[in-house]
Amino acid sequence: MQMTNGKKPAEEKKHHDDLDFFMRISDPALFRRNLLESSKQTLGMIREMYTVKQIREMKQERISTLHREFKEIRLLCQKLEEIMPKHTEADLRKHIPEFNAKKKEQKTLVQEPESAPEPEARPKVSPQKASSELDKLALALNEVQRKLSNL
Amino acid sequence: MIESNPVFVKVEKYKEIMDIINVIDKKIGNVRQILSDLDELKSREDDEIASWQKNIEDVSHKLDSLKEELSGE
Repeated sequence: MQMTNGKKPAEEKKHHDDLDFFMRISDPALFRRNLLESSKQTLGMIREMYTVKQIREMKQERISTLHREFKEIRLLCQKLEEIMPKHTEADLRKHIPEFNAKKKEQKTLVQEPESAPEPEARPKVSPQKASSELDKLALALNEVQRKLSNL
Repeated sequence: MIESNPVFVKVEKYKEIMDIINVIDKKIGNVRQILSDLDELKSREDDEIASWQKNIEDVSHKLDSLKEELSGE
């Protein structure tokens, strides 16, 4: 290869690689300000990530407390239901004349019902298979619905 | 509709029932407070996310300005 300026081709290639190219920036102060402000905003967002993380932890803690309170309220209601007096069939016949007429349709409060009509929206879960928390809740809801329908 | 007849509760059980009802009442108050806290936390979280959206748009505009400057447009 013919040498152009007395240098070898490899040296000439290296020379070209070493050349510096310059780009004109009309407003360097604005350029720098934009760059720095972008950097500052990005850092601010990273810091805010920790704030959101904290908020979510607080939310989770509140939700756990809420869950606990709901469970306790439910237990208290169950206890209340157990304590409240139940009517016997004789009492119902004595005090409610319509009871005899509707006896075939109604289920007694003392005896266990055969099979209550289940609302379509609630999933039916057999007691033997109820293992998860949700299944147990579904069962409990079905039971309450059945008792409500007896009133 | 069947009219419900009055129910008589023995005094010792009555006290227990009233105690339970009071406890339930108190717990309902706690639940209300927790729900209010959750509402506030959710609002704060939403505000933070909205702030990010605004900030990222600002950063995007600034970068567009830098790109224009560098491309010579």
